[in-house]
Amino acid sequence: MPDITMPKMGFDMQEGTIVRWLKKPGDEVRRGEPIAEIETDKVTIEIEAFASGILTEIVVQEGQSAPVNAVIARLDGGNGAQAPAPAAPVAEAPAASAPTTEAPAPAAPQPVAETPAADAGEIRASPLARRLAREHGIDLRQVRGTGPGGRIVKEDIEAYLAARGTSPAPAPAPAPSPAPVAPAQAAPALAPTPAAPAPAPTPAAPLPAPVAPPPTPAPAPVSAPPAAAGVVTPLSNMRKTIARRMLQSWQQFPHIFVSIEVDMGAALALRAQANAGRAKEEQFSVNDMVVKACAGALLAFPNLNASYGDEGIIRHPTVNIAIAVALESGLMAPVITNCQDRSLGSIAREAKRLVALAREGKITPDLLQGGTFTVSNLGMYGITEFTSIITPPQAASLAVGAIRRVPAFKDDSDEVVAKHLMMLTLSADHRVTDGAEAALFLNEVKRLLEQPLALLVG
Amino acid sequence: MPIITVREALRQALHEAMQDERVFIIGEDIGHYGSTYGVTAGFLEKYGPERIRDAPIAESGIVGIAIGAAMVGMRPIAEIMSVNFSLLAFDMLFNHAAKIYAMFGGQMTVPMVLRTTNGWTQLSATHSQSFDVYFAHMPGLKVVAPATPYDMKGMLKAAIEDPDPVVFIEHTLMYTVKGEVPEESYTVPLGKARLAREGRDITVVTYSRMVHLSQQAADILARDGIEVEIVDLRTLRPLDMSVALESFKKTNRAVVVTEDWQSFGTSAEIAARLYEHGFDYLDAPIARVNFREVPMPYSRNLELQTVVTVDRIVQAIRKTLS
Repeated sequence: MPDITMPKMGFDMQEGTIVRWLKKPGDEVRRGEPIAEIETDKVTIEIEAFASGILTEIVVQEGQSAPVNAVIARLDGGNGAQAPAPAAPVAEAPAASAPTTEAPAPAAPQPVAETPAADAGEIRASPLARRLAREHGIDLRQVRGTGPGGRIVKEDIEAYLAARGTSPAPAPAPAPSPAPVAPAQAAPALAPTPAAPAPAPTPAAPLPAPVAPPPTPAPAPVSAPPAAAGVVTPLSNMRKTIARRMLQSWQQFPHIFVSIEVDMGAALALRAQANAGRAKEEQFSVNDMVVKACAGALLAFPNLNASYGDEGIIRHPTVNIAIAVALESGLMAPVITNCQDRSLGSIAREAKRLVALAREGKITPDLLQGGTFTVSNLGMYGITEFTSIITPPQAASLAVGAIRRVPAFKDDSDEVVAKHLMMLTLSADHRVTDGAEAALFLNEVKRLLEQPLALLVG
Repeated sequence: MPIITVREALRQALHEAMQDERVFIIGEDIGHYGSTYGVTAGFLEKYGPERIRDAPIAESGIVGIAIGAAMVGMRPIAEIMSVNFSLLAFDMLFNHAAKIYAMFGGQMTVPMVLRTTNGWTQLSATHSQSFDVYFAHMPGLKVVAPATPYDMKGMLKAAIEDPDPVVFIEHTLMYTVKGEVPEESYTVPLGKARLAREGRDITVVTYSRMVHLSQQAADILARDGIEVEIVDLRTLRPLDMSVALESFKKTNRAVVVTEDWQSFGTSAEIAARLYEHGFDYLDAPIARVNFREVPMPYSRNLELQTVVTVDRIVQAIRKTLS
C-alpha cells in the first residue's frame, strides 16, 4: 500500500499546499500520471504518481499544507512494485502529545514513517524556547538559534514570530503548521518586466476564509482588527515568502542607496539598429542591456556579486542575475545564470524564456535559485526612479526607471538637445560594501550603457 | 529611620531578647572581652555573669549546655565565635538538637539559637570556611543567613522566639554594613525570601553577604542597560523558592551566587530547584559563582582569586545573558 508523499521540489522546500486533487478516492492511478497540483513557496506544479493503483484515501485536503515527505494520499491494490517513499509524519508533536521519542523500527508491517524526531532532537533549544514553539506551533527546525552554540532561545522565537507576523502572545495554536522558511535564494525585489501582467495561471487556490474551514492550519493567525473588520485575503505561499524575505532583508540588511542618471541615446540607437529586421523573439530589450551591463560591471566589482556571512564576505564565482517579474499573484525573480559568459543575445533569449515560464506558472524552483544580484524594472509603468529591497542573501539590487525624453544641454555647450535619460538606483548591503564602491559600480554600468558597443563584444 | 550597622542591629535584637528572663547567652569571649566582633560588648555589665556566660574553648559543651537548657524551658543563645569551630559541636547539633523533637515524639522542643559567623580575610584554610550547606542539609534545624541590618535584627528576634533550634549565620565582613533599622521591636519571619532588587533581564539568587556584592554587580551592569533582579533567600532551611521562581519565570535566566564551594554546595540545591520547578521557563543554563575549589590560601592575592568577587558575578551574568 504505497503512500503518496509531499515531494521535495527544491532543496529549500519545507512544505507544500495542495491546490487541487486531479484524482479522487476510488480512481485508478497509473504510474507517471499527474495526480495533484501543489503549491510551494515559489511555484505551483503538478505531481505525478510514482506507483500505480487505486487512490484509496486523500490525507491532505485541497487548501491544506503538509511538510515535505508527509503522506498526502494512499494508494492501494496497485502493482506498485516501487518501494514506498519514506513518509515522514508531521513532525512537531502538538502540545498535548507525549514527548517525541525516537521511534524504533516498527514491528507492524506498514511502512511506518522515518521519524524526523532524531532530527528534531539534535536541535539545540532552551526548554523555554521549546515550550513557546510548542504553544505557537512552530517547527524549531525553521528557527535560527542565536544563543551559545546556536541554541535557540526565547528571543529567537520572538523574532521568528515577529517575522511571521504573529503576536508572541500565547496563541491556542490548533495545529502546528510550520511557516515555510526557505533558507536563501529566489524571491524577488520589486518590480516587473515588460508588458502587462499576464493572467496568472496558478492562482494560489485561496483558502476558504469566511466559511468555517476544516482544520485548515492557518499559519499566521490574523488577529481580527478591533472594530469593523476588513476583508481578509488569506496569504498565498508566494505572498508569505515575499513578506518573510523582504522583512528579513529590511530588518537585517543595512541598505544604502545610490542613484545615477544614464544617457540612453546611444543604447537606444544601437538597439534599434540591431533589432531591425530580426524576428521578435530574437530582439533584445533595454532591460536585457541593463542586465548585460550589470554583468560586466559585477565582474569589475566582484564585491557586489557577493553575500555577507559571519565568517566573511562570500564572493560568488558566477554572476547570476535575477530579474523581477510581476505576476497577478505576486512576483517572482527567475535567475539568468552565468551572465558572465552570456552574450547580449543569450541573455535576451534566456530572459524571454524565463518570463514566459513565470507567466505560465511553469517555472520550477531551480530556476528561482542561485541569484547573486537582482535587476528590477518599473520603467514600463512610467516610474522614473525607485528603490528596491535587496533579496537575501544577495548584496545588491538595481532598480531601473523609465527612459525619459528630456531637453538637456549638449555636453558643455549652451545648446539644448533632446536626451533619453534613465535613472538607476542601486540598493547595496552596507555590511558588504560602501557608498563609494557602489558609486563606482554604477558609473561602470553607466559607461557600458552609454558606450553600448562594449555590450556586444563583452 | 535610624541608619545603623549590622553589629548594632544584632545588639538591639539581643537587648530586646534579654527582656525575657529565660534568655541567656553562652560563648567564648562574649563577656569580659565583649565578644570578638563586639556584638555583646557591655552585656556582662548590664545583665551579669548568670546570663552572660563566658565559656571555655569547648564548642561541644557550649552547644550541649544550650540544648539541655532549651529542653527544660530556657531560651539559650549559644555563640560559636567562628563557624569553623562549630565542627566540634556537630554531634551535639546534628544528633541532638536537630532530632530531639522527632525522637521524643514531640514531647519537647529545643528552642535555642546558635549564632555564628562565616568570613575570611587572610585567616587561612581552617578559618575561612562556610558550612551553610552542612547545617541546611539537616532536617530538624532551621538555618538563617540574613543580609541587611533590618533583617538581622528582625530575624534574630524571630529565631529566638522560634520553638526549634535555629542556626543564625552572620558574616565577619558584614558587621559594619549599614541600613535603616527601626528602633522599635519587630520580627521578620523565618523561611521567607525577599526581592532585593527589581530587574527584568536576569535573576540572581543569593543570600547573606553575596546580596551586597550582587547589588554592586547589578549597578555595574545597569550602566549597560542590563537590569538584574536580585532575590535574597534569607533562610536556607526551610528554603522559600517562591520569590526566586517567580522572578525566574519572568527573566528566564538565573545566576546563583553563594560563598561556599560549588560542588554539592548550597548553590547546587538552589539551582536544582530552579531547574525542577522552572524547567519550562529556562532559556539558558543556570550559572553559579562560588569559592574556587581549593582550601582557602593565606596569601592575599591567592585568596582574592579564590573568593567570590563583584567582577566574577558580572562576568557570570554577562555569560548567562549571551
